[in-house]
Amino acid sequence: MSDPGDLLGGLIRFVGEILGRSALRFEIGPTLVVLGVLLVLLQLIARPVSRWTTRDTGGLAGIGRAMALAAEAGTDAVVSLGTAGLARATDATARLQTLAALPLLGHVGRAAARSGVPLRVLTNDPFAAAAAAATVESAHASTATRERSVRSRTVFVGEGRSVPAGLALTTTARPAAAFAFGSLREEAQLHLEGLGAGAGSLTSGSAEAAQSPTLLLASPAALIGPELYQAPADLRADVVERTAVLAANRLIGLAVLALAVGAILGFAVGFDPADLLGIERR
Amino acid sequence: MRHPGLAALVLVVGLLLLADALVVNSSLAELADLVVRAAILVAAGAALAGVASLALRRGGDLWRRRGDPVGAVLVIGGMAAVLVAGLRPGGEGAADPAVGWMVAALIVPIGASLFGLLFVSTLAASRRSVAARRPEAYVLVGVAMVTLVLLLPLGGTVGAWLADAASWTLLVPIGAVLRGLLIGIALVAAVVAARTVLGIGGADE
Amino acid sequence: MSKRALLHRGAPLVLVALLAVAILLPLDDVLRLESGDETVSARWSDALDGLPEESGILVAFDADLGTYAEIRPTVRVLLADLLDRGGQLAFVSLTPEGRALAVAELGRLARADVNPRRLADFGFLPGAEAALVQLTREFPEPIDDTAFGRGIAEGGFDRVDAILVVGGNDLGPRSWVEQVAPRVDDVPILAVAPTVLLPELIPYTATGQLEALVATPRDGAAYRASVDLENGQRLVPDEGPSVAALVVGILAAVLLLAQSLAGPLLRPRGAESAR
Repeated sequence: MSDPGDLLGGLIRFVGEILGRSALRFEIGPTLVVLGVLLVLLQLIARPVSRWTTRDTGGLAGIGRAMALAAEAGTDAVVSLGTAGLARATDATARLQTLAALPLLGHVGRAAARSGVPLRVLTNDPFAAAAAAATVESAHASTATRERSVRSRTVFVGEGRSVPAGLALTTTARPAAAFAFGSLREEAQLHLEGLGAGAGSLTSGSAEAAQSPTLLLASPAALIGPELYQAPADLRADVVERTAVLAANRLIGLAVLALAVGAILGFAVGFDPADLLGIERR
Repeated sequence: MRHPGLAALVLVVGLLLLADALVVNSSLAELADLVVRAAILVAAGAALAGVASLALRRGGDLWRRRGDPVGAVLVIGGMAAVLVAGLRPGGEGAADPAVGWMVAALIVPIGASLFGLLFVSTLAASRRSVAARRPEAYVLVGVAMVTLVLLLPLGGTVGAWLADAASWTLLVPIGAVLRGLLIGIALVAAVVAARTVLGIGGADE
Repeated sequence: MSKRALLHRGAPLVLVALLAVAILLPLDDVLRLESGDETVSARWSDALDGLPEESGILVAFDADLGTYAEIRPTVRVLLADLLDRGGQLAFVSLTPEGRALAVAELGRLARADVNPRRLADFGFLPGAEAALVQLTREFPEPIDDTAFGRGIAEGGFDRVDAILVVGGNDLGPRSWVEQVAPRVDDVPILAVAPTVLLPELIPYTATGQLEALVATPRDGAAYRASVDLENGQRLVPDEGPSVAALVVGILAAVLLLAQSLAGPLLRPRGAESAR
């Protein structure tokens, strides 16, 4: 009969064998960078930082005015979750933006619920439609306005992600307030034109770097680049949301420091930081 | 409130795939392979569900006489034409000449033409933004004008100078701004993705 | 009808007429689409010269319907160049649009009597990045039964000498660099992409994660001008875009933007409310 010591020894040997048969897929530098993101996030969660400065990018905190316009006009407010969906044949960074848009949909949903304005959510993916419906339902529940939830609806328009599909996703009705959050690519221009036609206000947000000019031109209030991920931290008192932004800020600070130090070393002594990461420069 | 079972599943799958991305190990690779195959099945199912949902929605629009009937007829007709052409007895699926004709003669030109609309809509959006006297619009439109002039495909010495200036503009100022955006987006997205993988926080509560 | 209204209605027709005239004008001596900087085409040629004889190229065809017109002349010359060099091409797509365009290109190659034994078709793979990761472990069976296709299905990336990514859609060169490059050893990735993807692909070119990249119409024209096709010339019916029409479009855009800037700058803010 094996004793606990034998069992423990066997377990340690097993783990050791597994580790012995393992190797790093990347060089040590890139591996540490990936783990660093997790470590910074976990460190902040373990010690939540309470100091926070609200910037209200995109003017989403003042959404009450948009809802007042919609209530006065007797029309609905429209929120588009972009064209990436959650399960479409598109890259993960685009689909992540759809996830990031859900808290913003929740914020708009709560404002709409309090104002009695029906909400129409446009998606082009059945999974995103289900998530959106759940978010809107949750917004009505948290504002104790469940009786108004029947007036809000999620619309699935499944034509895809091309330019004509982006136009098809918009509605011919003229909402008083329109919002578009999520991944928008080449269809962004026509999509925002369609949403904003006749709307009293249009707010958009996308983390697609190449579409930043389109968002700035097409909508008076825009969240560009990382702002789409950062905006929920300004809208909710949720410590976890703010921790994520603080973690990201620290990582951005580290990246800027690394770039500055690397540039100085490169100019001063000809040191190439790419050597550390095993990158063969062409 | 997120279901604890779902949160645990997300955590386990996320950590497994993250470990497989960082570490080369045969046992880990087999487990990750199982998860990846499941993800592919889900994606394929979602794609089929999307197509079926589209057909049902447009069919429902026609049946209930709501929405855009012309659009609904065109969507359902187009889907039926491609499905019949590809799946009819003796057809070659996606490689069938009839399907190829529809793609080359209809879908590609229509897609490219609508993409060409962006030329007009971008100019119109620029004019509206400038008319609204937004500071960022002035900067964007001014820089766009300069960049367009640099991109003029002229020959000779002038053309060569313009081309060099365009390359410098792309690599240095425009490249610097976009790299900053890309680095910021990548880092924030990495943190958000880590939160999702670790099951920290819900989508919205 | 007022003059202003007449101008608004007539301007688009005038532009269309100008474009039609520009397409017919022989201005090749004055205008030059090829970029003066030969770095891109030289790097591309070096990458292709570094491939072995009868190399197996995995062509990841995920172009976009809207932007494919921009890169189509370059893609067709590139495919012809690879075939001229004795290469064998295996096509795979991860997006439905890319698959539709790949089928069209394969049909065009078949009609041009390209030897079918030099082509393989792995069809459409669902699953986005999961499909990419799965591809590094196991290739599916090819749709057509050729020795080349079967060889890749059995040997995987060991039988692939280079990956050519035709980008534009959602799963483009960046996804291949992120998901495939870390998992396969020493398989260079070359990319043809529309200009809209250029900002996010330049860093990958600088670090060598992309062996070569053609991502603007001017660089594409420079590459096309540098290629000397022999048998492959019959595969390239396109002459590329009309440079004169491009110039007309650019000038029209510059004039419109200048006019829109001049209005608010010359008209004081108070004058608008007075009107």
